[in-house]
Amino acid sequence: MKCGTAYKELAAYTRNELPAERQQELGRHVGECQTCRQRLAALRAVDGALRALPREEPPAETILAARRLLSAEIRPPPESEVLTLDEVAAFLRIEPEELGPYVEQLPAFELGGRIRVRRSRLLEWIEQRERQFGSGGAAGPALRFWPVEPWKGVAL
Amino acid sequence: MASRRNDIQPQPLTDDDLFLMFREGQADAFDVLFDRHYVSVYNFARTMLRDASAAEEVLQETFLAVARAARTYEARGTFRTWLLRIARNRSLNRLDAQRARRQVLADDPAGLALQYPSREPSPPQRAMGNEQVQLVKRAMLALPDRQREAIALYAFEELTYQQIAEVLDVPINTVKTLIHRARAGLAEALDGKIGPG
Repeated sequence: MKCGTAYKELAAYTRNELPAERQQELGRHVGECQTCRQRLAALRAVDGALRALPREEPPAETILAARRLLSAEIRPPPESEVLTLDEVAAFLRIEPEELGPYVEQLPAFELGGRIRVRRSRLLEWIEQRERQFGSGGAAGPALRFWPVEPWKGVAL
Repeated sequence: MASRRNDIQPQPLTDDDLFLMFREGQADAFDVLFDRHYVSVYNFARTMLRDASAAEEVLQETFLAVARAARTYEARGTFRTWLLRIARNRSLNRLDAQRARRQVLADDPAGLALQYPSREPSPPQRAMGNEQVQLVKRAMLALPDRQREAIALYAFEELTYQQIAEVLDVPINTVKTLIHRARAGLAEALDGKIGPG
């Protein structure tokens, strides 16, 4: 006799995820139904097969290439005197998008539509801002008292 | 005899610990995160993309994105789901591009088999014949995309339903339905063809 129980419902049953009443009902039914018992066995076999399926290891060349790429990203390369705007942002420890308001103030030069900044001029600019900051300029004296671990929640 | 107070075992570093260390400037911490998770990311990308070389690219892109988005991650013990979400998004972008360029190979079972070979022999403790492995993989590839993703995260990554819901960006009940359907679909496809687990 063909059984009307959905395979999908049996799958939920094996995880005890049907509504309590239906869970019990199905529990009783399974005891009497050959088809359902076969299907439960098939589900168990699938679960076992999935557990046993080996995980693919990427080829060694892929891992090497990925590590090199990431290393270049997270360990900055030797310093260049001339910086792009992205590098200026990275140097200043801000996101490139945050650089917008400062671009016009930066000691930059233009080269074929591209903007570049000399590292040494950038350092001078930073010194300028430090003087402004330290003397209680726009930032005010309150920020003199630096927390010991600045990364803990202080927006810089 | 040493007192218990002096006998403290150091707690292993969590993903969040490592990530915060990386954010503070310790590049080596990122390397450890890579080592911990590259197999997961690679396998998940392969599940989604059916293509080994595309999965390799997604692997690189994912970790690159993680390194660059360091600021956006909130250390709430969800590094793994965040990472897999990024991997999923990268894979989806690629799928969109692939589908735009050429026909999906699902109509061509022989093509599928060629695209998705097993590179490594099964480890000795998992005694599963290569033929059975291919059968299960083929059945997985034949599942609808979201079911395949859900079952892969459940069975291979051993994520909880909640974690899967975060990666797939769907409600938990949807995850349950996807997994039940996937298991039922696989059971029907493999019924009688594979041995007991």
